[in-house]
Amino acid sequence: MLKINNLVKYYGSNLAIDNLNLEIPDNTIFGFIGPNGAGKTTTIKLIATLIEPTKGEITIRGTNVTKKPQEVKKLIGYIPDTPFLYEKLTGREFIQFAGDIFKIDRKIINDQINELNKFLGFGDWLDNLIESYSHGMKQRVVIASALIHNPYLLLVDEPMVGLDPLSAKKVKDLFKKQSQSGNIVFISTHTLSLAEEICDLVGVIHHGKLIYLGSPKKIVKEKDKSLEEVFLQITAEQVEQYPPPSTTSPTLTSSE
Amino acid sequence: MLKLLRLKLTTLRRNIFQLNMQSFIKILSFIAVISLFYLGIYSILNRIFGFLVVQEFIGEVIIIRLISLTFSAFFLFLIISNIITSMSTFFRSPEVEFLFSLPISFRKIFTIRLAENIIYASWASLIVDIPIIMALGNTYNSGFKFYLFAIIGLLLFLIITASIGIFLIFIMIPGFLSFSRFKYTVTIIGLASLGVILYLIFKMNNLLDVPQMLTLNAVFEYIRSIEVPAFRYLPSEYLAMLLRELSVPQGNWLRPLSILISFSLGGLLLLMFSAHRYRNLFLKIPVTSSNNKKYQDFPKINLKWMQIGRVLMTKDIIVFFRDPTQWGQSLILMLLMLVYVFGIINSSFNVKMPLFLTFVSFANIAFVAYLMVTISVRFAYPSISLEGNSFWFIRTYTNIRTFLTVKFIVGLLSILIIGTLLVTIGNIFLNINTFISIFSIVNIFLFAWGITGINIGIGCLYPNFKEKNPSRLAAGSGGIISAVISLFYLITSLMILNQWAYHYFSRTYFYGGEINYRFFAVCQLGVVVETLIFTTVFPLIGLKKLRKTNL
Repeated sequence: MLKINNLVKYYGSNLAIDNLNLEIPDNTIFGFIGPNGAGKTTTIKLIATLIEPTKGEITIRGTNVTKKPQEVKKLIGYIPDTPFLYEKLTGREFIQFAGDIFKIDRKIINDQINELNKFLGFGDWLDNLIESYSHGMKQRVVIASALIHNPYLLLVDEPMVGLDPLSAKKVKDLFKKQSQSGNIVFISTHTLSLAEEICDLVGVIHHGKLIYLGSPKKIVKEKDKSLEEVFLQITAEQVEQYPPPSTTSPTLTSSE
Repeated sequence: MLKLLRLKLTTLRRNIFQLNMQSFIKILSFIAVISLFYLGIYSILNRIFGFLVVQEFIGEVIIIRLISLTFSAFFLFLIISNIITSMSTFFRSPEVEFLFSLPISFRKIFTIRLAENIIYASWASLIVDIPIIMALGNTYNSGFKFYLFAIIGLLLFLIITASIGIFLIFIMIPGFLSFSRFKYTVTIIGLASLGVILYLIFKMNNLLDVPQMLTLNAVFEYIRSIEVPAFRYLPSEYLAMLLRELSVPQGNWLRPLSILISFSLGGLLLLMFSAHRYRNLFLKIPVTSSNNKKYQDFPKINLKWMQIGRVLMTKDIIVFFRDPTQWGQSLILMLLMLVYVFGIINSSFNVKMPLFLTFVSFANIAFVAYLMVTISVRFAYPSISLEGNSFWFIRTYTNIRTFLTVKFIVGLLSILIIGTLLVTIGNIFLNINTFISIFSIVNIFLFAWGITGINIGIGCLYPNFKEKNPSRLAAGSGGIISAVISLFYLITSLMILNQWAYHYFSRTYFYGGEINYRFFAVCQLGVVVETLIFTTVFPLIGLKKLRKTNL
C-alpha cells in the first residue's frame, strides 16, 4: 500500500501541496489528474524521493520515503515527463544498465526484455543508438527500464506522450498486467479518457489540494457524465469556492 | 560505482569512435589543431627554458619562478573554473535527477560527478600544463621518474583546486537558493573573509621585492630572496618546487610531494564535507522557483532600430538576472578577480622600479586576456547551444544574423567590461604612464572582439541543442577547439606585440635611444588586422552553418 499522510510542500512561500492524504491499495492503477501546475509532478517527485516534503510523511509498503530513501528506490520505477537517456547507448544497453543498477542477473534482464518486447514492440532499433530514436521509441525504452526490476510502485508522469495508438494500447495492457500482479501503478495524466479507461481509482488535485478521490466508473455512472465533464465541473466549482492561494502565505522553505 | 564508470567510458568511446564521415573530419581537424597547439607551446617553452638554463646564477631561478607564477595563476583560475562548472555538474543536470531516482548511494553519485567536474573544469589548464612539464623535462634531460611524479603532482594539484571550488559552491548554495536576507549576509561575510585570507596569502609573498638599488650585492641578495617560495601558502608553489627538485640530481622531491599530498588530504576533507551535504542540497533545489515575486510585463521595445535584436538581448539579460545561481557564480567570479587585482596592487607597494612595473603591466595584459578566453569559452561559446529547443522559435520568427549579433554583443560586453576593469585598475595601481595604459586597454579591447568572434563562431559550428549543461558543452570537442583557437589567436597577437615590447624595453630601460613609434604602429596594425580576421571569419562561417542546422 502507498500511504500519504498530511503531506505539505512549500517552494519558498509557494504552497505546492496542501495537506494531501491518500491511500492506494495493492492491485491498483491510480490516476492522478488535475490542471497544469496543480501539484501532480511535485507529488510524484516527493514519492520518488527526489524532493523532500516540508511536512507529512509518505510510506510505501510500510517503508518511510524520507527516512529510508535507498530502500524505497528499490521498490519504485519512475518514468518522468521528460525522461533522461544516455544518447550514446543503445536501447538494450540502457535497459541492461538499469537492470545492473538493481543488481539483477543478466540472464533475467534479457528474459525480461523479451517479455517486455511483447507489450512494447521493440524492433531492430533496440540495438541502435538512442540518439537515433523517435520520441515514441525513447518513451518505450524508458518504460522498459523502469519495469525491469518489476517495481512494486510504478510512478508515471504523462505516459502516452509520443506513443502511436498501437503502442499506447500495449502500454495500457502492460500497466494492467503490472497492477494485476499485486503492484501499484501511479499515473499522472491530463488524458482523461485514459484515466476513465484503465484506472481503478482517480484523484483530482487542484492548487495542491486533493478535491476528489474515487472510482472513475462510479462517478461517471452517478453523474451520468463523461469523466472529462465531471473533471471540468469539479475544478470550476473549486475555483469559485477556493481561489488560488495568496502569495502572502507564510514563508516556509524546505530547510526550515 | 564500476557500472557508472563503465557507462561513462562506453559513452566516451562511442563519442570518439562511432563516426560518420562528417564527424570523422571534425575529429581529425580537432586532433590536428590540438597537436599543432601543443607542439607550438612546447617549442616556445623549450626555447625559453633552453635560453634561461644556460644563464649563470639567475637562469634556473627564473625558470622556477616563471613556473611558480604560472601555476599560482592557474590555482586561482582552476578554483574559478570549478565554481563555474560545479553548479551544473552536481545539480542542474537531468542526469543527476535520473541517478538520484535509482538505488545508488548519493556518495557514489557525488564521486562520479566529482570526476566529471574535475575534467570539465581543468582541461583548459592542461593545454598549457602538459607542455610546461614536457619542455621542462626536455630541458633537464629528465627520465621517467620526472614525468611520473610531475603528472602525479599535477593530478594532486587539480584535486586540491577542485575541492576548494566545490566546497565554496556547496556552502553557498543554500544562501543563493532561499533568498533569505540573513543567509545572504552570512554568505557575503564568508566571501569577504575568504577574499581577505586570499589577499593575505598573496600579500605575504616576496615575488617582486626587488632591490631598488641595483648594486651587485643587491642583485645577489635578490637572487637569493627569490629562491625562497613566493606563494608559500599555496599548493602551486609546491608543485613548482616538486618539478624543480625532480629536475636536479639528488633533489629533495619527496618534501614538496608530501606537502602536496597533505594539501590533497585537506582537500579530501572538504570533499567529504561536500559529499555529506550533497543529498540534502539536491533535495532542496526547487523544481520551480521558490521566488513568488510578481514581475512586470516584458519591457516594450518601441524603437525601430535593432528592435528584434534588442528584444532578444532583453530576454537574455532578464533570464540571466532571474537565475540566482547564475549571478551567484558571477559574484564569486568577481570576488576572485578582485583578489587578483589586490595581488597587483600589492606588487605595486613592493616595487618602485619602472622596468618591473611596466613588465608587470605587460604580463597583466596576457593574464587578463587568458582569463577572458576562459570566461568566453564558458559563457559565449555555449550560449548558442543553450538556446536548446527554443531555437525553433528563433529560427521561425527571427533573423539568425540578428540572433547571432545579439549573442556576440552580450558575449563581447561581458568580457570587455571584466578585461578593461582589471587592466585599468592594475595600471592605476602600478602607476603606469598614459601611453602604456592606453596601449593595454586598446589591446584588451581588441582581444575581446577576437575572442568573442571565435567563441560565437565555433559555437555555431558545433551546436548541441540537446545539452543543457554549459560545462559539458565547454569541455566537448567544440569547446576545446574554441579554446585552442582563442589561445592561438592570443599567443600570435602577443608575439606580434612582443616585438614592439622588446623594442620599448630595450630603448627605455637598457640601451637608450628614440622609441620607433612607426614600428609600434606596424605591430599594432598587425594585431588589428588579425583581430579583424578572427572577429569576422568565424561568425560568418558559423552563420552559414547555423542557417543549415536542423533541430
